Amino acid sequence: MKEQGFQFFAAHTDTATKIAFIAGSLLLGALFIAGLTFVPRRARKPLIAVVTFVAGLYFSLEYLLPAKETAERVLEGGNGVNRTVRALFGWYLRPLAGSRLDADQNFLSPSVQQLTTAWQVIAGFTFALGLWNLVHIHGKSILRGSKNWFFSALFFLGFAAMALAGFMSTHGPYKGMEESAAVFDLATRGLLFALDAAMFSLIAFFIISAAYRSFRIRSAEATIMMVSAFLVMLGQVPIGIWLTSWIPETGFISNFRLEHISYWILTQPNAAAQRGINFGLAVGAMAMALRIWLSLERGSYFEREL
Amino acid sequence: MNHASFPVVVIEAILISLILYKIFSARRGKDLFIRRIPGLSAIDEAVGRATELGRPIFFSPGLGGLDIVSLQALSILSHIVKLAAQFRTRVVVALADAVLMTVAQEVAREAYAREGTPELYEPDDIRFLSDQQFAYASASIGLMSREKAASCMYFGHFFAESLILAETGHHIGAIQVAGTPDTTQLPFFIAACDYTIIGDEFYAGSAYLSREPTLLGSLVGQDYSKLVLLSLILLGVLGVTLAPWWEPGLAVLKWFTIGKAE
Repeated sequence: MKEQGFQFFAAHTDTATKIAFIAGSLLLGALFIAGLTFVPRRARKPLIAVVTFVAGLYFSLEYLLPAKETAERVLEGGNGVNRTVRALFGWYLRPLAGSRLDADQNFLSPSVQQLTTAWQVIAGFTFALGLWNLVHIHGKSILRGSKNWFFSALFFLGFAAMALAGFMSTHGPYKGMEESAAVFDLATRGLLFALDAAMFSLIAFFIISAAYRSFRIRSAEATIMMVSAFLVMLGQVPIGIWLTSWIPETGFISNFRLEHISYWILTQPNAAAQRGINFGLAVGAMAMALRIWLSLERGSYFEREL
Repeated sequence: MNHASFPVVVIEAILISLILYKIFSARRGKDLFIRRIPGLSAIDEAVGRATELGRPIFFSPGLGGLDIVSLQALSILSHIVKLAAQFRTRVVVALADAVLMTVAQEVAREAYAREGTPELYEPDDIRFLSDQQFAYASASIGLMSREKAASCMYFGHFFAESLILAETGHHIGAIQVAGTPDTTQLPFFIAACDYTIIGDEFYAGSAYLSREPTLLGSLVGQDYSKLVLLSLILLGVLGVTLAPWWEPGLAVLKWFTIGKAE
């Protein structure tokens, strides 16, 4: 990016400046959120609607407006279509082509990263709410001595141990020491990753029980699904390939080799169906985004339809 | 950075105009029809079953953050909570995103209040579990089993944990309804759940359940938009096929590539 724009958000390498910026940003963020609570109740929803609209408009325009390279191509293009686009939008394309922006940027692009970072900062404040929710639920469970209170105690124990191990390996007197790294390694690779892998491995067993129920021949659709799944699975394993290995590898007849049938099912009917679904999903997402952008979706959330 | 090409801008303008036109004509009172979607009709059945058994409903919006998919999931949650509030049935929501948790709490609070039962809102039922995939899956199945959920609903972004959740739901005997835009997870939900909402039916959820004119209009607009896209695909196929022999076929292809490198 050649044009840096607003230098306030540029990266600072000096530690003291970094700490000052973090503290300042936290203070500003806290003041901003505290300030929002003073907004009159009646003004809150219009405020949200306006901010949503402006933010949506910015990101939409950033995507829809052409980048510098496109502007250059249209200005240089010789065919009739380019001439028409040039005549209609030359007022925008010429200054863009002559700017010092990167080839894939338009006038709005330089601020995208900064706005995305600002959103991440706002979202960061809600992490504390998530943590509070966990502490509240598990703390209450221990204080009330509920049936599974020891699981809640384990949550606090695990939380404290992981935080301590992480902190020790990167800060304080044990920073960089082999022992502190080993504790962190035990907590993450030895425990967390192993537990993750154990949960993931459950899927193998669940797939069998789910497949057993689904692949029973109850209807024409279930039969087609079972036959297709059987052919695809056979085409992926050596025994399936061996079963039809006597069929020549060339010529029309080669289409009947199991690995080719499997490949055809995956890349033709399956891909076509998935693309069809994806088209529908994309249009659905666009309509939903439009309703949220224009605050037309309110009926489903916070108040009756306007 | 990605930017739209000229044809994309034109197509998007047409689709947006169509959707907005249908929304505003629906708001003016035009009667619109939508076909029956069994998966969405099953939500009422699932709430009814939980009420009969006196057990809670489990709802998961998946692993997604605050995006369009999760907002649609929360819109469906809003309907479920309203329905459950009428019968004083609990809804337990398991979340993997702290931002989404705050929105979900607000949605649930509003839904209970709208049904005239604000006292039923229990903040602890809208739980943030973990933002780690399998920690979330593990905590969710624990919650489903301990609470003996009578109905389990999965609407949102799901990954490998989809089958873990849905199979656990099946093992505890819950009636299950799922909907996700993640096509890779659809087979798992189809195999393990009683009803699965496929493709854009997911986005039809709020319109189908609430019958609000804005949402119904938007849904009809989506259908018209799909017709436009289908016509463009056919036009492109014809253009590619006929281009070698027919001049206008080549013009169609050129239109699609305005602004692209030649």
